[in-house]
Amino acid sequence: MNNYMYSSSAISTIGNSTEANLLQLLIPIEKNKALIEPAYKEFINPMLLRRMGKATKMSVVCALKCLKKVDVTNLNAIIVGTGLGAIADTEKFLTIASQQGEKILPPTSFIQSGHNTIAGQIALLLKNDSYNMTHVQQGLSFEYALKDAVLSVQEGAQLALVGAVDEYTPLLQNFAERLKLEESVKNQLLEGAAFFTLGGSPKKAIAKIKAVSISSFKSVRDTLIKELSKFDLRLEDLSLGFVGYNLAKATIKELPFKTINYTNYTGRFFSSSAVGLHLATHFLQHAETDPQYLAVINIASKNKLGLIIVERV
Amino acid sequence: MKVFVTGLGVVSALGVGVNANFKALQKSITGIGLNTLLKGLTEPTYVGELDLSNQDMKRMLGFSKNDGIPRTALLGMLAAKEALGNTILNGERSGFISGTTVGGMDLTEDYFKEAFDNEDHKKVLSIKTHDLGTVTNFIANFCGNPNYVNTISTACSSSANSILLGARMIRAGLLDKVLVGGADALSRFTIHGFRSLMIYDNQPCKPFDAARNGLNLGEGAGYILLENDTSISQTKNNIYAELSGWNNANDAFHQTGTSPNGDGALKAMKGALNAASLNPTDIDYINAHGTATKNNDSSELNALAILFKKQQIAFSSTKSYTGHTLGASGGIEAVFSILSLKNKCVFPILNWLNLMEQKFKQPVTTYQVNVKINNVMSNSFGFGGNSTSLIFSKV
Amino acid sequence: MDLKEELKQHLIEQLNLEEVDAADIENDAALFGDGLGLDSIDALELIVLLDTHYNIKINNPEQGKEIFQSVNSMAEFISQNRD
Repeated sequence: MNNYMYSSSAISTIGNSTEANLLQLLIPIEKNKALIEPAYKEFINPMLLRRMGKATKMSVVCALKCLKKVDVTNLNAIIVGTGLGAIADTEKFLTIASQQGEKILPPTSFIQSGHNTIAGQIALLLKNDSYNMTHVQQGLSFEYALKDAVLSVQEGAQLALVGAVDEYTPLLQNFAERLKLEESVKNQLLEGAAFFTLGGSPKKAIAKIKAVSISSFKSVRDTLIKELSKFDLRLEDLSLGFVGYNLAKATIKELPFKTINYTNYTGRFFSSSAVGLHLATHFLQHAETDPQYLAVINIASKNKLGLIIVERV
Repeated sequence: MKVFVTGLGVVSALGVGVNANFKALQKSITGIGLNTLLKGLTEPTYVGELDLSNQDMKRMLGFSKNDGIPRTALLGMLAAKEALGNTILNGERSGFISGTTVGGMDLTEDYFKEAFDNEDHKKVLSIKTHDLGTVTNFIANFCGNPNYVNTISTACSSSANSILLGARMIRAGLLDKVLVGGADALSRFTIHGFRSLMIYDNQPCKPFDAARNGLNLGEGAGYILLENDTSISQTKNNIYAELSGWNNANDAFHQTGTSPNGDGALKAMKGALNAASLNPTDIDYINAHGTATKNNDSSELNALAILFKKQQIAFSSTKSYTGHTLGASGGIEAVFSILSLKNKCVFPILNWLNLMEQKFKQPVTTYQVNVKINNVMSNSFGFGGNSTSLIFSKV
Repeated sequence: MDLKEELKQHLIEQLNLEEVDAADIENDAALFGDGLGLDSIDALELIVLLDTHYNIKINNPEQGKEIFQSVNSMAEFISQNRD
């Protein structure tokens, strides 16, 4: 069964540019860590906005933008991936709880700290009573969420909203320093979100999700060859690879297509491959060379990678 | 394609293992008492605590006492080991899906407490195990080398959803065998959290009682092994039950509260019945969510009344034995539901005295045997409106 | 500062009402439901507010319904019960 994408929206250092030469506009993360953020107030009622942490705000706006392009009454599944969830609220409640002793504690940051608060708030805003899931598997959270969305469509869901988000906090940066993580990791930590709508109908599709896979790897190249063959594809069929690194790096030997290291521009966070997919989709829609297949290769850890193949429609 | 349950594993305040838990349920012995191992609470608190320290569990599992392993992972490994038995969890078509909300929070909160009183740079390693995925990886690696390893976190329905996802993967032909369920340890974070919501009872909880006053938290882990026919022909495992129906729906009413008529719960239960091609009259016993909060029990009872109408349906909440084990509750209660099915019995609710305002039929209050049980429904409803219903059927 | 004005500042801060000015909150206007639009989580936050700023402890959230009706009812309760 085919999985079509109807819309995509992201909040990252890279704006939702309509420029065909988006890739030329990318600025290395070390020079630019500013997220291009919307005016959240324009999308969300202040009485609701005050109850939303950063991850929730970013996700809600991305979701709303995505859903503008489709019939929201068909929405049968809301699926979110996140590596650390609402970490800022977790830190806040932890701090309050450790310091306050016997006092009555304020509940808001506890309520906002649950990992599924993001998917829950989206459903609440839309009054959507359908399937609602949250996947939390470090750097592969988005891939697992996407696999779930693809499965939902296969089972008959007309429209699935799927995305991923992770937050950055000064405390996370502090821990990265203290844990003596690699320089490249420490210098690239950031945050972002990206959401997509998927379904089985080709009408008004902007792209097709040809494959989503998660696998162990020793050699990236060998694993790519193996995974691609499951979808009747070879390395030579790919026009461009968007490669992202999470907590680990990998030496990728000789691929027959050009690669762009997207985490050098989006920053590193557990959900960065969602933004990688957004970039790839955007490129697919605007590139003059009419590429057929693009790959999003997420080096999630030193022995696990995520692979998404997006196809032109 | 049918999905079968071929392994059970459970750890809770009732003890380690299916036998210990079953014995306590049969004898109406609760595991809820004042906290002893969990330190640092400002007042003694009723909890469903397993009376094994982290060091005890590491010893049982063969780890060194200096290994930095979160309590959730230790609980998970004990239950996962039991559920697997002799089955080896490896190969491309094998999986492990775990539901959790606490993850490595026990080690993290200890670090936060010390970081504020006295910064010790060596201890910072303990926050490396905070995130939920890392805890799941601990348990997965202990179980073998499953290919698909994932974590679901949807508050109180986390492990029920892990079971649901595993079943869907088998039915779709993507996996042949998958260990599913979840684990959650007690933590000061969650106890403080539920106290801040003013839904934590200072006494042992009373689910579905008119005088109920909130929940008691508990800890534990519950896993079940799901297999299809192909896998069973190789493992030759005995079948405990069929997982015949499942559904997840959203209440979409409030961040933490449930709608008065339990709309999400109703939708999930109807969906599960539909998926199993069953009618409400086919359900013989319900392991309810029954947290003992004013809101949940009221909404849940209303939803049951709407769905089951005048049916003489037996139901109870086992949270009066284990406490509310949050992310682990769906997994633990799946095991209890299957015990009920296999042994033709229903477990009584504890601490129950008075009918609630709705005057829906009262929960089971005495242990009953030789009960005709063909289908058991197990419900889990979490914050964020997340509602899941599972149906286990006799084979 | 007048207790009611002080209370409004605390309300705005505790409940994260960034878009609301103290001048916008009428002393006798309903805080919950159709008035300011507060909900059950806000009620819990108000219990924290009473403890933090006025040393008044409320153990039963049900008591909140009457106390938190309006700024007036809150101010009256505080005057009668504060340390």
